[in-house]
Amino acid sequence: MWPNNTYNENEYCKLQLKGRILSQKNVWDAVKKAIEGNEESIALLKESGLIGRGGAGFPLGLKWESVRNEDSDEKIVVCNASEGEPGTAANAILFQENPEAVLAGIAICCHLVRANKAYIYLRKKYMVFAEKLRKILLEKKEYFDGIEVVVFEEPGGYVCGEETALLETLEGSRGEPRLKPPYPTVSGAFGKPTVINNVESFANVPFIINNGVDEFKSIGTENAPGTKLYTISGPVVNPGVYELEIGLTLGELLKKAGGLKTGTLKGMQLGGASGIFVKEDSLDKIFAPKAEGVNFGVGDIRFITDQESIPQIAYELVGFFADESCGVCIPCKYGLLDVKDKLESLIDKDKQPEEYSSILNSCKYINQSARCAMGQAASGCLTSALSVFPDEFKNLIEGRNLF
Amino acid sequence: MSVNLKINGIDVVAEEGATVLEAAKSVGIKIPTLCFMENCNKVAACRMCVVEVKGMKNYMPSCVTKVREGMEVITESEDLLETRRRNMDLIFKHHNTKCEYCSRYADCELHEVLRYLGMSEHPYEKGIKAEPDISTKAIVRDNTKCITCRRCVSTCSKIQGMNVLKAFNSAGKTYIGTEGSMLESGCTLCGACLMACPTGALSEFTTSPDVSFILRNKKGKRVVAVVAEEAAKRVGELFYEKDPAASEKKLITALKLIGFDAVYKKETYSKAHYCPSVRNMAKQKFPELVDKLFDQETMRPYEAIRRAEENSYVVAITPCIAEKGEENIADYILTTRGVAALFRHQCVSRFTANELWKDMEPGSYDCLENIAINLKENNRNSVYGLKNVEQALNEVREGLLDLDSIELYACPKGCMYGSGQPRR
Repeated sequence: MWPNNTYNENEYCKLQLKGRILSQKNVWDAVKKAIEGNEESIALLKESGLIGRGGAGFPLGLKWESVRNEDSDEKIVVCNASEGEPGTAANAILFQENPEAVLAGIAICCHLVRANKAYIYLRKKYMVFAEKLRKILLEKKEYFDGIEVVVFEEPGGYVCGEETALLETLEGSRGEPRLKPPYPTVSGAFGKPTVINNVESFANVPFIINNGVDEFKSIGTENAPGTKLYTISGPVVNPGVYELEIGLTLGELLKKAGGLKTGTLKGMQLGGASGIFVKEDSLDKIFAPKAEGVNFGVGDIRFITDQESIPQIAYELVGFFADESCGVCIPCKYGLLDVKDKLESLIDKDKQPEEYSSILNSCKYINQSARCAMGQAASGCLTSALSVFPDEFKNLIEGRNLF
Repeated sequence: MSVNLKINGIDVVAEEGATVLEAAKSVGIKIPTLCFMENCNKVAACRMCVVEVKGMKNYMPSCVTKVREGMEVITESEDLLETRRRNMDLIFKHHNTKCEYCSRYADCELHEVLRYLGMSEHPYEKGIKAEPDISTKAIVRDNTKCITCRRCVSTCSKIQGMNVLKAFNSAGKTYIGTEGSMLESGCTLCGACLMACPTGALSEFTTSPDVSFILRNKKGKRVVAVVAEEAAKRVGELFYEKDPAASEKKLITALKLIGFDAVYKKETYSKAHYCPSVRNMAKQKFPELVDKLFDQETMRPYEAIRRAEENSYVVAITPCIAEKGEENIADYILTTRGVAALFRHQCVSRFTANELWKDMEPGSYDCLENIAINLKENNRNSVYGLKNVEQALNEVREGLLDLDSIELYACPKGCMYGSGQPRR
């Protein structure tokens, strides 16, 4: 299964390859440059085509520009480090290797959108970085003139990484996603226009300001220039975080991770724990945002060999999501539990197995009517496991003595 | 500004900012809802009102989705119905379905939607365990019947401003509750939550079986009723008697018929504020005003009768849930709904209560000597709802408002629509 994402405890919470973002220097010069450039700096970011690294892939420049254009006395910037998805460690590695780049990115954002408050929203496990971050903030306080930066400890679980649930917890409420519209760029934390970006998105900003658009665009794909911190897990020789250019094929990424340790490749899960499953014949596909046949998400890949059982993986995934649902809407709260029960009936030999089509249908209806992206993604990844590897599920049913 | 859209192929003109639900309602299209409460609860949690919007991948909850120019909406399709049915299945999987014993059996909103969806059975086993919270002896919270729709939570926070009811835990273990037992939670017993609840998860602590018992086992004592005007005027609604005056008179006959020895009218006094829920709230938030608000006269509506009927069982009939939490009011307290239930208990072997009610002769109250009745002067401004009461008391505290110029009620629409009254 996906190991528990405890910082530094999982084998994939390990830096394997540094790229230009992780090793960038002189990040504070970028802050000075950005302040001088002001409006041009935003234009630069828009031109760079940098898309958010949190999974949704929204262009960062556009988001910042729309918050900048909002008419409000107070604006807020949030750095989302609620990296709760199993199999993801990019944010932790960034805080470990180059926290200054992240903080410089936040400083640039505050100046460009004219925000006076910034939150660094850390999940509980990442509170180990809090001290280090506060120390840098103190040392570099000249770059945060007129900006209050708060290191905020996430009170809840996985769903708090959803941006509107995050805002609710910032305000001291339960972590339940809000209904959109209004979008955070218009009315976010405390009703103020708010920029919310992933840690990695912020870390990309100083690089673009320092090195220019052409340099940034020199690698990556047309839709998604630059590099990405891929977390590669599963039975590969060197699991961990790799900073590589966007646009490599899945096969190339497997090769970078040293190939498989044991077994033969059966398939992959792409884009994190809520991502889709594909078969091993997708190895030649390009793993990039908006590329055909893949789901980029947060850029994670889990390789799966024939020694693992897909129903077992699906059961563990649904267990995770059923535990992490915020508990507002019926389909996610009860529906995922229902699917969990049904999958358990396949795995537990003492139970009357549920029919394959019934499980698939349950997932479909959750997907259609769930209230936020979390319920939709959770049921989506199960649907994909069921439809990509139907035989594995059906074999579990057929091999049984039905009573 | 108006917006043109199509709902089920029908051209609809709606106000800008209206929801799809409102637009559909304006042309007579019904969309089932459970968690939705106008101007109060708009969380889109139950997913009963989902509709298909052309161009959108997923179904949208119509209660919060705003109309857009050129929007095309489908409210009924086999797949939509199936989606709603699935969600209803899931609700029922986690709902106590010993419905025949539930106080909401006849008017459960869950059942109403269930019938609308045309469901005949649900495919799940039952088995939920939770002890109901009866600590207040006024409001009962039974989480086995809760569907976590948040209507009570929104009512408690947005309308009453109390924030006593909250959601706890997460995922499948999410439940609605209070910090500590309801008694310890600072609940004022206003009962607004219980009126908002679509199921029997929040209900009143019922005393009708006890009253039924003493009516059959008087042990030589008299049993007398003290009836509040608001209760008497509306109890008839539960027996298809719409005229309030007739309802009041028939109630007297009905009570005597089932064995009450005397029926008195509850007196009201002009000087004192009375609402027990307001007092509970004031004790927490305005301790310095409590004595001024509630002098020794407060309990007098029942005191005179209790003194005159010292050896009797006194049964108060009231529109109020909060009175149930008061000590020394009466031996038994029945709400309007409770007295209707009592009536059904007592009449069940002879004829149905509805028929009896139809043919009933009007009666009149018994009188005690030297008791002034209805001294209430109507020149004070009424303040309804705890949130407004709190605001008014804040003004009193600041010296902006005279306490004697206002009359305070915890229920959002006053005693006539109190939390012990018929629901609809």
